[in-house]
Amino acid sequence: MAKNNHADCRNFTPIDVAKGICHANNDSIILIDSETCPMFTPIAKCKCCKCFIEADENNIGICDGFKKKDWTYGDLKAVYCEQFTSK
Amino acid sequence: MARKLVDVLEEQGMSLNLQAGGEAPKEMVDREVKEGATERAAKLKDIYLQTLSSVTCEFPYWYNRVFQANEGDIMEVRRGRALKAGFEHLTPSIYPGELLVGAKTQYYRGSFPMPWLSEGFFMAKEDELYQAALASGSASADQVSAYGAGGGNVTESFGNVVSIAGKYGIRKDEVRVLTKLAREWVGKSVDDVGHRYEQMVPEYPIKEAVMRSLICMFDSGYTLPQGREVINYFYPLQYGYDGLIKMCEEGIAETAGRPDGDGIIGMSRLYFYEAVKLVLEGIQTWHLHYADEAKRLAATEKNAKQKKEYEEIAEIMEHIAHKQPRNFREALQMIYMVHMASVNEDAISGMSPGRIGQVLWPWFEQDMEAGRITEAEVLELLECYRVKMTCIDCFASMGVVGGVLSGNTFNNVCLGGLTRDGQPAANRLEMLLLEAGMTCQTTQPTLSVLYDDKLPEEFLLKAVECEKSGTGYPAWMNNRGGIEFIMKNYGPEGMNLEDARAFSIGGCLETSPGIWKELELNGKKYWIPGGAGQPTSVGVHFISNPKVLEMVLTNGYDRRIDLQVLPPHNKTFKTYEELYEQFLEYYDIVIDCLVTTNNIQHDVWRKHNMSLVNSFLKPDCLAKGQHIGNMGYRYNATYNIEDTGTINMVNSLYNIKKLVFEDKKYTLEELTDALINNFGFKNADEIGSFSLEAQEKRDDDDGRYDQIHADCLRSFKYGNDIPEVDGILAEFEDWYCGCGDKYESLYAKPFYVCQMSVSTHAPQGAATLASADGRLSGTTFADASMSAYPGTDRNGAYALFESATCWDHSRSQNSQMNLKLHPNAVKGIEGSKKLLDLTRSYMRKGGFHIQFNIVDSKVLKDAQKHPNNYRDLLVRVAGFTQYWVEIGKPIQDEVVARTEYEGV
Amino acid sequence: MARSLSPIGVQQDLSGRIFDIQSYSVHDGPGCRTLVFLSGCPLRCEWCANPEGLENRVRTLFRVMKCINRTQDCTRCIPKCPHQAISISDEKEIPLAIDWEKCRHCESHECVDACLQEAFVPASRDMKVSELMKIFDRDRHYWSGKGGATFSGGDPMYQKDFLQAVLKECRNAYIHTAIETSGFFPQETYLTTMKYVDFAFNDLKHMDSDKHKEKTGVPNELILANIAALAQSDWPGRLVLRSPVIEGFNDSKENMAAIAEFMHSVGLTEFNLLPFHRLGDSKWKSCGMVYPYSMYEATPPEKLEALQKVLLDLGIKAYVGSDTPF
Repeated sequence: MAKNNHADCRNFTPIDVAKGICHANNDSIILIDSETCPMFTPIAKCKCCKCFIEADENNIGICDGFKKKDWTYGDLKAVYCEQFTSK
Repeated sequence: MARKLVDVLEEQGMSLNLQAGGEAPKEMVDREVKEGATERAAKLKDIYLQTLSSVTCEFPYWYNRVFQANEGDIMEVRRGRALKAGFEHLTPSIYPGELLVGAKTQYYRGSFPMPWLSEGFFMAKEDELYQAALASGSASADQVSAYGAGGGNVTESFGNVVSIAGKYGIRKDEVRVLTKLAREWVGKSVDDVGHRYEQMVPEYPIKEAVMRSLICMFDSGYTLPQGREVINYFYPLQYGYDGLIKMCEEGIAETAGRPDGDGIIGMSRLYFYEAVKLVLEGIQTWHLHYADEAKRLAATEKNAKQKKEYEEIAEIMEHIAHKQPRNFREALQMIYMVHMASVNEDAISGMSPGRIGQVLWPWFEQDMEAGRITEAEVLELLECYRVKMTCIDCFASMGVVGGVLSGNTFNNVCLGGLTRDGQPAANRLEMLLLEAGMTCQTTQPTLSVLYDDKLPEEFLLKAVECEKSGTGYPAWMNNRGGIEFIMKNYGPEGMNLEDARAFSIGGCLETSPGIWKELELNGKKYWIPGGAGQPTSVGVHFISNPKVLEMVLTNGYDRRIDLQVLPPHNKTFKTYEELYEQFLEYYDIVIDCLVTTNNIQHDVWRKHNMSLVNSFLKPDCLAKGQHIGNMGYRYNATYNIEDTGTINMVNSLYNIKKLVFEDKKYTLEELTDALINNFGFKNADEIGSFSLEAQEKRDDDDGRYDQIHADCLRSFKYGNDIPEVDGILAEFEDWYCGCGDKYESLYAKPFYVCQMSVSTHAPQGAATLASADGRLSGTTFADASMSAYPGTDRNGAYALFESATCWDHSRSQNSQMNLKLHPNAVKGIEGSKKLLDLTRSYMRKGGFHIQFNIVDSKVLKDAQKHPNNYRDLLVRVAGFTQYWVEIGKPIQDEVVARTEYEGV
Repeated sequence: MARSLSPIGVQQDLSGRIFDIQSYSVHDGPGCRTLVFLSGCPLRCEWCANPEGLENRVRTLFRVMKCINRTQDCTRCIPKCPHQAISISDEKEIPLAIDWEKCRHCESHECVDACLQEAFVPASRDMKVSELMKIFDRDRHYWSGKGGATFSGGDPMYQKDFLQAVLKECRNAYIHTAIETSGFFPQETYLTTMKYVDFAFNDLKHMDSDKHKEKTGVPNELILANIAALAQSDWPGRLVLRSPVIEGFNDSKENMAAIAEFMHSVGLTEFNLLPFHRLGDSKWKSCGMVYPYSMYEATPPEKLEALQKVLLDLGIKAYVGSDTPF
């Protein structure tokens, strides 16, 4: 599994595809792909969910959390997914 | 420790210089009025200026999943469920210092593809889906279109960010998701289904050739199916979302199983109410998620002031998720969120907020009277609103977003005009909207004044002051002219004078019908205006008038792409009249094939991808129980025919008439030969500049075309009050403004015409040979529809105005005049008054629209050389204000070349 | 086409020589105006911004920038000139050498037709009073209530008969008129013309007659006498004196003080200081003349402010540049 980046962290609010705001560091603007810090707290994403299975090398797998199974991708945020269950 | 953002991006070749603007060199003349936003708005704007245009698959993932899961359900309901899922799963982002919250996606300036509309254009160039789009002519415009090389455009991939089409950035991990989503819609998207059926139209082969030759800029039904219209905020503002859900429930109870005399669509009302109810629930949940997020942030926030602000946001979002807003801030937050909901349901540009100074007036008035808010607070909120609206991005193909829109989203706010009972409608809140436009200069919302002689002088001078700050807004629209057009065009659908006064501008300058609704707030009643018509600038998109004329000279054959585009006429023209007759004949062939094929695309759209959000907003859908596709909107005769390059066509026709048929100095064959050989010049793209003056001779040129080229250039031109030339324009307009009556939209209504260039004069010029006015191959056409070709208006503004008003503008949806003024010409209060005199005189003469670029050309030239110093330089293009660095090179060249009225 | 209300034909359809017409002129009198430049001037100011209007004849301008002789070896004009006035030049920046003395007497201007690049253009053209009135009739729609026509030059009074004829027509048509003049004309011409003028700018470039003559070619006594006569007559118009600020010539406090004193003595109160600018530079070249002021910088704003202050302190309503109350 790929290394966590800032976009995987609950303290981070994305601005764009390259950067965002870190609420754990005085709301400073940081790059998504820079080193994470000890305050890192994972945000709910499919890749952290029990329903996410059979992920391939591109981190695309199956979600079996709903009546009808379908594909999903590990990086999809699941903060408001009604079936999210942390691994 | 995180590295400095600027450094890292600079290493990746993406300079985001924060010291934008810089110090203007001595000899350049600055614009007079400078900005000075509140600290809060300035910070939020600064973030915008550093933000990349970003794409995420969150919304489309959920839309797609739920849509597929509901296969077999009624289409309206299926789409309702899919939209609901999209809204409910959007992760909210709230940024420190924001007073207004919400966005299209989790990003600050985000957008997303909608493969259910069209799935080929955003794939990699080598992908078979893209190649397929190219072959059918639906991506032809991409090849001659360009994005600006700077600003928030992600022109190249870097690190874990991949560039899509030179504009949007997407996280590398999501590229495969995008592809996977796209493939699920192959053969099912509006584009694909429409294409299947449009091929059954007998004239389809001509249409395909017309698209490939770029006689027409792009298809209509699946590109930007909504927009260029005025939204209507009345229903949520009056009833709150709870009230609207209740309406739907009552509607279901009343109509389920009862056709009520309508045997065709009477039964559809049930599905409509059910679908809208689902979407409303999704929108409510989406609001509540922002409330949740605000509370979450408040819980850990150490700064007491910021903590309190998060708590306020939570309270506001919780309230407006259910009920009528209680104060000005809530009302502004609500209309902003309604707007985001609207632009998230479809690929949309030009969804105009309309006359919001009048819509929000009830809250402003009551808050001010009660002392609940100060004008300074209102101004700060309006500045925040400007930043928020500027963050709206639209995901569509390069040909559409780059070639037509120059990346702009055309959220036009109109000011002035008249009230329902014919009184001047400008109010104090509109003065503050103008003020915010000056203190917080951004591209959105762009401002337009509905100019009426009744409007107070103070308001008009304030608008001039805003204009002088160099933002290019407000544009000036003729209120009486607009009302006349609305009365004529929508009279058959029951338009009356009172409601005609509720019109506003959708998109950059599309006159759109509205109505008044009576809003009640705390027992007091107000009439507020809002949109009531279908999207405009749908139907036939941008016919290149010079290209049609080129076809007449080349017997219908396009030499750029080596294709017989129109049926050969095989005629030898003995008179100018015969040639002009053939021009109109070709024109009709072009319109006809575009009308029928686009009708089919739109028909597929209304069946598979009908609007639900805008359908609950616009009168009278909720009352009738019908969505847009079943003509639930009050006004439906909105389909139009757009053109571009009119002035180059007029000047060319004049030269053909004069040099070939009257003076007989050249034969038509000699002239055509000169045009095909580009008067001995290289093609514009070899030079890399698209303005006439920068063109170079071919190395092997022997000067044989010099005389004919000089004669073409030196002849009389439009814009100088010369009756012989202007007469050609008047004759064309007389025909053109009536030509729509011959065609029928899918709603069985006649077409009308729309005359503005947006940015099409660059790509469509790029696809056109040299023209008989002396313009060279591949160079940009004259901008707008009434502006003179750069440098050819040699007798001043009054002569230009006289030429422009030689026909009745109220027969067209619009006309467009761009004027570039040197800052010296409008200095001081006397300068303001004189700029108003100039504007007023054009309006009184019957001109429909005028806009000003008040800028020293030297500044623009310097900005081309040093874009990093000009990140926030705004210029007016053609109906919109845009960041200079986000405009493609051909349009930049054209703006520089425009005749500058100095007044030194 | 709108129907014209003016009488068919004009009283005295004289012909005049005009070298430019500018519409939406905003710095030459009240409101928005149409500005007409008449050829011919009795003065020869070294800093003149409109050298093509100095003489009352149709002169040919040669616009070097347009000429493609150097880039494309074009020589079309050379054989067409009946006076053999054009030849290839050895100079670095000027592709063609023009013998301007020969050009002086040319009335046929073959070079204009020969050049496809419009490098040769006639500086002026002849227009009838009626033609000019037609333009005003069109433009007046676009003027504000207080706008109108302004006559400049050259010096418009140089063609007094034509000017007076136009002014009379304007008065009949209720058109507000303004004039920009040097005032260096016989008093009868001056006062007769002014009878038909509503607003006048009269230049006053120096109070010292010798100095005046040194840089403008004429002394100033006649000018001062005309201004005094007009100011003290029953003429109902508005008279504003003006002058460009020329470095080392008229930009002294003493000159300002003398101007103020003179103005008080004749009962005038308004003075317009104009910054010098170098815009005339390329035009001097096009006329084949050397611009004595090509090396001078534009007047710095501080200088203008300082002179304005002198005048203001002496009770004169001094305006700088286009920052005027009209």
